[in-house]
Amino acid sequence: MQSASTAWKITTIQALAVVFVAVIAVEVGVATSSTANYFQFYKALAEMQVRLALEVGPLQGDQSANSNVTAVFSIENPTGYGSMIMRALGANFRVVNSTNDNQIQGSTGLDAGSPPTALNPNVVENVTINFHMLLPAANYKFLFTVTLDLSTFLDTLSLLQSSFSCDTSQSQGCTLVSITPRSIGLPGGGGGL
Amino acid sequence: MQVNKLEWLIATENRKLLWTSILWTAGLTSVYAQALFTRAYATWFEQGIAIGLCFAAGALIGNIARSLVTYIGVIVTTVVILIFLSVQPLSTEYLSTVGVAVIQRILLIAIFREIFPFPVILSLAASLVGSAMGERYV
Repeated sequence: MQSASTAWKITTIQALAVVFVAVIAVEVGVATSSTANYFQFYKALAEMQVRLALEVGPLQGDQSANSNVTAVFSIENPTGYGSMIMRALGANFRVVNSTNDNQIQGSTGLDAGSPPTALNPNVVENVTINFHMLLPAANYKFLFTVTLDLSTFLDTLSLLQSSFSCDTSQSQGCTLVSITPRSIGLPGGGGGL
Repeated sequence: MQVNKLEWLIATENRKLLWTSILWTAGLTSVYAQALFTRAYATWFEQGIAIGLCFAAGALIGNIARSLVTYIGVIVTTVVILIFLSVQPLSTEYLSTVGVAVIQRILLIAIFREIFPFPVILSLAASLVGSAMGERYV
């Protein structure tokens, strides 16, 4: 009777130990993957690339000098980080006449363009914005400030927005201006990054 | 031969306690790190796994006093490792100094919100109940 009881005790402890080790092994595997992904998060924020392709032409069927402007923003996450979503994209634009410094300004609002899109590693997502200008397009340069509303793992504490500056008079892509957290329910709020 | 080596690893109570605490720390850290780096909070399912691990660890230790002391060590080590893991990739190479400070603050809030106060109380209770059951039945 004593030996049967001892055998049962050993079996129970061993079974518990095996389950304990097995659950931990699975958890360590899952956590390693999440942690490795997290380690690329800040690099993904800092190295996010936005490029602008602009097409300006006369408004079709319009005899006046009005212009149709098509701005295609290409957004790319060049890192391996795989859990970022672009919730919305908005653009403020300023159109400057290079000869007489005349300016027009406008804004598309933050929901312009596209539904929420996953910014998967090395995949280019295009967002097209169209607008009409009651001006001829000649001699104008376009300055865009693009805001990306990002959904990240920090969503329950802070929403992140990345702002980029795009100048069509310069050939290179858009430049990251700031990364701004909008805190949710935290005292003190947040500042630009 | 392999069985003998395994038996040697857990031949004394102190060695068993050492291995249990190492695995316990690895388990809790993994559960909370996975939750933190995925959505910045732990779901009920993840809290359930953490509580289950504490119960099993307590039962394996089988001594209430030792379980209590080990639990305190494990939870402190877990928090320290989580803080280290979360701030380690933060760098002024990617964000401004202000940005690093803001994100650090958010991450610390996320870690403490994930673990304190109820999860830590429930985990402690689970490890004590587990050790009481281990003492009595196992």
